[in-house]
Amino acid sequence: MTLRARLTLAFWLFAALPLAAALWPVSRTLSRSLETEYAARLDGATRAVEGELDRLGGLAAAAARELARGPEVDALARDEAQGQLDPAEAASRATGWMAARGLEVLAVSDAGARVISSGHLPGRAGDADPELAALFAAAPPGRPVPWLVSRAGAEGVESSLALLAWEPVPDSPLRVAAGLALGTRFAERLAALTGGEVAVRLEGEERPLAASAGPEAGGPGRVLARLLGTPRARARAIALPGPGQALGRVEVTLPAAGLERAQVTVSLAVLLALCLAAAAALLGGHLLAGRITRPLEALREAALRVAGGDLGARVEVRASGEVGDLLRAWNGMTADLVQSRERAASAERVAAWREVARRLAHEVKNPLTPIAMSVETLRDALERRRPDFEEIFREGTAAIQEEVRRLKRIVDEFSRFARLPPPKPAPVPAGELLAALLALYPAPPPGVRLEREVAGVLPPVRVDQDQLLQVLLNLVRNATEAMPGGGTLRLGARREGDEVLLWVSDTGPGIAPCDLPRVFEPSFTTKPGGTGLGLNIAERIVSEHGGRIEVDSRPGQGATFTVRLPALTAPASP
Amino acid sequence: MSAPRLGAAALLALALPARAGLPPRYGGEIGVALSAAPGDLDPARAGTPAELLAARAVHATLVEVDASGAPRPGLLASLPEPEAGGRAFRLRLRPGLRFHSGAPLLAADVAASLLRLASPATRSPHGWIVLPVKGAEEVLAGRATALSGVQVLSEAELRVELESPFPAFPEALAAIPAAVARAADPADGAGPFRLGGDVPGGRRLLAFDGSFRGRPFADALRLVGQDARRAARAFARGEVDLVVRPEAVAGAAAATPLPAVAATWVLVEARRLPGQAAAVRDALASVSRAELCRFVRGPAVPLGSPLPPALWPGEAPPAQAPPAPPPRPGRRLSLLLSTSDAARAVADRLQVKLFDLGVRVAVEAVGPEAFSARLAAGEFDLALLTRTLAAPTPAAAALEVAWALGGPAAARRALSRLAGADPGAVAAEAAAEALAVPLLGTGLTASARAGLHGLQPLRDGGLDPGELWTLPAVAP
Repeated sequence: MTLRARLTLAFWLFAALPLAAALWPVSRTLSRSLETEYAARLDGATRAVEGELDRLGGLAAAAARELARGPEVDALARDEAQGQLDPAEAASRATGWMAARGLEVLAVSDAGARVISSGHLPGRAGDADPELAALFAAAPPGRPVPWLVSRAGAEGVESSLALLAWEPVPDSPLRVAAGLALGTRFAERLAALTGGEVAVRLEGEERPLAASAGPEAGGPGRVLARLLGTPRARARAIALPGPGQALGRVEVTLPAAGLERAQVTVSLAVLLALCLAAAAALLGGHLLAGRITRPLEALREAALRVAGGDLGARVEVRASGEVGDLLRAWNGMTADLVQSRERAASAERVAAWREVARRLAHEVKNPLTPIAMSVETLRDALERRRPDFEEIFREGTAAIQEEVRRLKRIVDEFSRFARLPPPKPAPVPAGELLAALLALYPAPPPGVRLEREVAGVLPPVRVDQDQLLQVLLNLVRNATEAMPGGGTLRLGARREGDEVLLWVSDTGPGIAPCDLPRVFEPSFTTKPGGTGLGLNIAERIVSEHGGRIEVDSRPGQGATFTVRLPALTAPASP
Repeated sequence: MSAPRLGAAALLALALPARAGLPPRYGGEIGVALSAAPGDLDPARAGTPAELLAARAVHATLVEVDASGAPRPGLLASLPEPEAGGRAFRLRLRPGLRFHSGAPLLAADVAASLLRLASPATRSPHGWIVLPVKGAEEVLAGRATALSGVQVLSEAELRVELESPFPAFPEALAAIPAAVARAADPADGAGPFRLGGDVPGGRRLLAFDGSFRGRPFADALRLVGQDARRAARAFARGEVDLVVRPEAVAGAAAATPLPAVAATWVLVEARRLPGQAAAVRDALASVSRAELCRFVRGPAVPLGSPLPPALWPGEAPPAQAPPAPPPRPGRRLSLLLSTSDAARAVADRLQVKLFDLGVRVAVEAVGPEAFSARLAAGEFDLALLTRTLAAPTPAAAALEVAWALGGPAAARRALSRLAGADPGAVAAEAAAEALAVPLLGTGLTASARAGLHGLQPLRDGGLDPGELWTLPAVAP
C-alpha cells in the first residue's frame, strides 16, 4: 500500500469514526421515542380488546337470560314436561333462535346437561354434553366466562373459545347456555377496531384457534429494519381465565409498519450522513495526502530516472520545510553529478583522442618507412642510371601504392570512428534484428555452416537498428575471419530476465585468456592489418543503447560474443 | 311400538268405518298435501314419495301386489308365466285398455314404457326394473335404442326375454315406475285419475272412468306440495283432507304411519380413504341407529340390513355394535348429502358421534343433480344416501338396493345371485361391496280429517288414491 493510500485511510478513519460514534446514539434515542409511542398505542388496543370482551360477555349473558325467560324456551320446557316433545323437531329449534339473536353458541339442556336442542352442535341433542356440564359446575348463572366448546362448522366439529353464560329456565329443570365465539369474526372485528391484528390462542398452543387476516408488512423496509435491529411488532396478550387456570388468551398486535418506516427513515438519514461525511473525509484525506506525498513521489521518480541513467533528473515540485530542503539538495546533487560526469567524459575523450593520435601516428608511421625506402631506391637507381631501373621503378611504385592504400584504409577507419552519430532508437522486435542480419549476410563463406537459434517469442528492444546491425555484422565478420578453414557460425537470440540476448558464436581457435580483457580496447587487435577499432565501436554502440557486450572464449573452442539489451517490456525496477 | 305393529293398528282403525257398515261414497274432491310438489307425473322419473304417490294416482301397473305381497294382474289379463326355463315372460294385456287421452293402450306402449326406463334420455332412477331384460345393458350404456329382449307379438301381447332367469321379474313390474305411460306424453296414463289442470303448488286430477279397476270414488283429487307449517295450516283450515308427510299433523282424526320404505345408508368411498375405509365403516356401524331415529321426523326404524323391515320383515333389528376404535388419524373427511333429502339432522348426528370417535367430518350438502353426479363418479369420502324404494317385494327390492348403492354393475352382480337366494343376503352383499352402512328406514304419516276413508297403506309405502272416499264435512 502506498504512502498516499495509507495517509488517506488514516485521515478517513480519524474523521468517520468520531462521526459514527456521535450519530449512533442520536439514532437510538429517536428509535426509543418512536417505540414509546407505539407502546402507548398498543395499550389503547389492549383496552379496546378488553372492553369488547366485556361487551360480548354481557351480550351472551343477556341473551341467555332473555331466552330462559322467553316464550320459545317456555314452550319447549312445557312440551318437555308434558312428554310431548318431538326430539327430532326440538333438536333443531335452537338453530333458529341462535341465528335470530346473532349468537354462535346456544344450547338448551336439562340440569344434567343432556342436550334437548342445540344450535351450535345440533347433532349433540339427546346426549349429555360434558362441556355444558363443566360450565354449569364451574360458573354461576348469569356470569359470562371464557369456555372451550365444540361447534359444527364448515370444516366439521371444531373446538373454539367462546364467552358463555347460562341461565336456568324458571320453574323448569331446563337451562339455557348462550355465547359468542371468539372466532375469526371476533378477531376480524377487533382487528378493524384496533387497526391491528388479533389472534385467539389456547393456552400452551402456538397455532391460533382464530386470527384476523392481517397482512404482514414485508419488503425491503422490514429487512432493513431487522438488519438495523429494529424490534418487530409486539403483541399484548389478554388472558382468558378458565376454571383454575388460564384457558387461553387474546393477542393483539399493532402493525409495526409505521414504526419501522420511521425508524428506517432515521436510520437511513444517519447512514446517509455517515456516508457523506465518510466520502468527504475520504476526498479531503486524499487531497491532503497527495499534497504531502507529491514531493516524495517526485523524488522517487527522479531517483528512478537517475538509476536509469538520467543523471540530471531534477525534481520540479515546490515544497517547503524539510521536504523542500531535501528537494533542493537533491537537485544540487544531480546537477553536480552531471557536471562530474561531463568532466570525466571530457577527460576520457581527451585520453581517448590521445590514444587515437598515438595509434594513428604509429599506424601512419609504419607505411611511411617503406615509402621512404622505395623513394630512396628509385632516386638511387635513377642517379646511377641502372639498367634495371624500369623494373626497380615498377616494384618501388607498387610498394608505394600498396602502402598508400594501407594509409587510406587506416584513415577511413579512424574517420568512421570519429564520425559515429548518436543513436536514434525505436522499438524493434529482437527476432527482426537477426532476420535483418541474415538478409545482409545471405550466404556464409565456403566451409562455414550457419545455425540460427531463436528461443520462443522475444520482446522488442529499443535500438537504432542500423547501428545494431553494424555491431552484429562486425561480430559476424570477425567470426568468419576466425574460421578460414571453415566451421560453424551460430546466431542466436533469447530472453533472460529483463534482457534480450543476441549472440554470435564461432568454432575458430578462440581468444587467448590474456587477450580477453583487452578485446574491447581501441587499437587492440590480433588480426594482421586490423585497426583494433571494430569491437571498440561495437561496445560503444551497445553501451549507448543501455546494454553491454560480453565475450566468452576458450582456446581451441571458439568464441562467443553476447549483446545484452534491455527488453522493452521489462518492469521498472523499484 | 314398532312400525309394523303401528301400521297394523292403523289398518285396523281404518277398517272400522267399513265394519261399521258405512258404504263407500262416490263423489267429492279430496285435497292432499304432500311434502313436495307432485312433479311432471312421469312414472319413470318419479323418485320422491310425493312423485310416487302422484304417479300412482295417474298410472297403472301391469302387475300389482296385494297386502300380503302376492302379485296379481294389473293391466295384464293374467300373471305372466315364465317361459324358456324362466328366461322369458309372455305379457297379455287386458282387452279394451285405454289411456286417459282415449288412445288405446297397446303392447307397443308397454314396450315403449319399458324402454324409457332404460333409455339414458329419460334419466330414470329405476333402470333396475328392466336390467334383467335382454339388451337392457346396451340401452343403458347408450349403445342401443331398443330392448332386444322385448318382442311385441300383437296389439295385446308381447314377450320379454331375460338375460338370465329372474323369477321376480313380474314383481318388479309392479313397481309404480314400471307403470305404462304413453310415450308421447308420460303424464297420460291408465290410472284412476287423469290430469285435470294445475292448481297453486300442485295438480288437480279428475276421476277416470276408463280405468280397468273402474271409476275411483272421488270425483277429483287435488295434490299440492307444502312444507310442514303450511300443510298444518291448510289442514286446520280444512283446505286439505289428507296430509302425507313424515310428521303427523296436529288435529288429525287419524294419523296413519305408512311403511318405512325410504332407506338411508352411509357410503364409504374406499378409493378416497386408502387404509382407513374399514375403520371408518366400523366407526359408522358403532353409531346407535336407534338414536339416529330420534333425529328423524315421522316413522323411522333402525336398519339392520340394507332392506327396510317393511319389505323384509324377517330382518332382526340391528344390534348395537361396540364402539369402534378410533381410526388412524388422517385428514378431515367430508360427508356428502343431497339438499333434497331430509337427512341433515342425521348427518349432524353422525358428525358428532364420529367426532366423539376421533373422526373429523365436515357436512357438505349439494343439490340433487350434483349429488347424483358425484356419487356416480365416486367423488366423496362419505355419502348419506336416502332412497325411497319403489320395489314392492324383497327380491325386487334387493335388486333396487344394489342398483342404488353400486349402480348397474352392482345390480347385475346382485341379479346373478338372486336366483333362489335370500334377497336380504343379496342386498347385504351389495352393501358390503359398496362399503355401505345401513342406518334407518323412514316412512310417511298419513294424517286424515274425520270423514276421509279408504286409507290403505301399500307395501311400497304409498297409498292408493283410487280407494279414497269421503263423507261430506259435518258443519260445526
